[in-house]
Amino acid sequence: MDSQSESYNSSLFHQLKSILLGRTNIISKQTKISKIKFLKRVLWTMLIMVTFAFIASFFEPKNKIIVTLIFNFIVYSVLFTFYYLLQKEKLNVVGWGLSFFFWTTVAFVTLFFEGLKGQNAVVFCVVIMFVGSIFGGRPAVFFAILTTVWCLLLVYLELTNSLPASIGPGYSPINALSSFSLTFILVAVLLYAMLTSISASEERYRILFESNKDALTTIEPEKNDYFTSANKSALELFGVQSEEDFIQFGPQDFSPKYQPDGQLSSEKAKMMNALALKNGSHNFEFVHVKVNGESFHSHILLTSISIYGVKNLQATIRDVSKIKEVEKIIEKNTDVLKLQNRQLVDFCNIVSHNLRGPLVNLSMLVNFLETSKNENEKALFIEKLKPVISNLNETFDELVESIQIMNDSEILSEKINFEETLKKSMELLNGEIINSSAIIESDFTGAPNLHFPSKYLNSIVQNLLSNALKYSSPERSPKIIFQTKKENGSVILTVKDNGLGIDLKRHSNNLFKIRKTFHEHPKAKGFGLYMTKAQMEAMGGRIWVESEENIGSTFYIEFINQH
Amino acid sequence: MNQLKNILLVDDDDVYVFLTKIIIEETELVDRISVFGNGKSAIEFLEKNANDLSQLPEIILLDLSMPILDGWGFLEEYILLKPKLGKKITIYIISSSISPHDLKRAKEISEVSDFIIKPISKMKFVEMIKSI
Repeated sequence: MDSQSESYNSSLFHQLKSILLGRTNIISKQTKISKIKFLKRVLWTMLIMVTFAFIASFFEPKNKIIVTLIFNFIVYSVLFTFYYLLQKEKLNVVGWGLSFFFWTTVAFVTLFFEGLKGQNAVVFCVVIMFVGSIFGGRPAVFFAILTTVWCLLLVYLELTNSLPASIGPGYSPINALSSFSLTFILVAVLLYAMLTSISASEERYRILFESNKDALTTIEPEKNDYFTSANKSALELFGVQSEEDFIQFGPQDFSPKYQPDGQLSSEKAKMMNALALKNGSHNFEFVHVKVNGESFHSHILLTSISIYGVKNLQATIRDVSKIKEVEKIIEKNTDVLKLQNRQLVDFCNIVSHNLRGPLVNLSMLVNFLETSKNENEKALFIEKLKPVISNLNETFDELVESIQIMNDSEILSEKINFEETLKKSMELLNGEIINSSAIIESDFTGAPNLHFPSKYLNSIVQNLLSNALKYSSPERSPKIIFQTKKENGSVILTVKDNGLGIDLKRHSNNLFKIRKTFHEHPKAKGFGLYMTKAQMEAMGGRIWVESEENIGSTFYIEFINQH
Repeated sequence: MNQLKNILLVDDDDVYVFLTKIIIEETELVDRISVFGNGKSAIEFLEKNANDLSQLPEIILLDLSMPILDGWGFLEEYILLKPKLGKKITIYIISSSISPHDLKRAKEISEVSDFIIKPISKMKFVEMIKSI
């Protein structure tokens, strides 16, 4: 067998070896019907060859006719019995029966027809191959061991000259030719059956691999993580011409230097491979680069597989760029929806508290007016109507103003200077600044200019300055510091004061809501911060605050898209 | 009918307070009405008079939307203060809010006896006092 095996290519040898050793029972996994067909073919071959040998044996004068007749009678009856059983689909009985019949026949022949000298032992190989092809590797190994023990016994018997008397003829060219013809033709049939089924199943798996629309590749971790194969979809995905070109690369060659999470691509790839080898499989996302330099997000499933004992990773790569894009859009829309939903809730509150309140007062006053008979009382009620109406008017105007901001998505941004904006606000609030003897400092060197609607910026700066002046501590003269800096494409304006501060634990929920005030100040209206927030949100920015009571507050305003 | 000694009106809306006072006075069921413009001053009053039964009210009519300390904030402080108070006090929220969210939140606070949507009528007020 060894000298024969060298003539096959090594992968075929591996496949045969694995069949005989029972690693992958490709043939035994065939359907019952194809096995029966195969066995019938074997039986027919034997029947024809045995008939040739039977006829030929009459031409050999050394043969005893009675032995020939008995031997062939047994052979024919066994073959026909098996054929009959096969018709009844008794596959296992026939398989094992044939195996034992072959084996015992050969054993008989070797024992009574000149032992191993007749080279009949070669026929054992056929038996073992036959067993392997029907029942898989383990029974074949069993027969191989049985045969080895038998041959050793024969060698022992020959060496001690204690072989039983030969009942057959001595060397006979015709008998030898018959038996070798039978052997070789059976070998050919068995090999043919094995190889066609191997190539058929190989073809099946090759088609599964090749025609899969998912990009499939294999990677050999022991070979520096190089690709060892790729299907058509994988070649198309990366833009590589052929598989030969493809296996010159590893995953690291189709990656940018860094992944979006900041990791080196090569390190991340190594880590993912190690995880897949450890856990059997691993799912993750990765950014790949095509040969033409175009990058794409991919979802990768690595599965640890073993090909003829060599650890491999099978990678299924899916281009998820489109999903990623959609995800981004969904995320953005969700943010918009969240904002709008919050604004809606705020509006509900405004309607509840700020519009309904005065309306209730109006209706009550009118009721009292109707029922009152006292002129003085009536005059008093009418007097009370005035502030309610003016309050309602004010709230209404403020609401209209804020709604305009929310809908004013078309408002144009322009280049504006912080220094000038602050100067304008200081001029408008000059009286308050002088009265409180406030010190106002500014440092706009971090970001001197802004791209923003000037109307909004004027209002924001003026509101923050006026708040800082209004809620200053009576214990110290106000000190207000304006500063700007750039951060990740945004400009952040900070306004720090040393005023009363705000109890954030209590008020953080209401800080930027309309008509919410937090200090006992006659001019506290609860509109400035509400407007500022509305303006910032309309432009996609943010406002937040840090504050400590009796120490001061710092307002942060982030203006986005300031590259 | 019970004659109540003292009612606390916690509301920052002057006109509303003025009108509610008229309504309560007309029922002639209450001796005194104390008014506070925000939750903080009402809490301070309760703290100061925690053991003074003549000053502590039987009923608190509480608005929600107020400066400095709103109705919710008042309730938080009140829950902490309650064990020290020498009198059982019934709290009604009287708000212009028609938001279901506010109503739900009020129901979750066991100290709140009812949530009344403004305006309060004389009938409703009499009913309220009767129920105590």
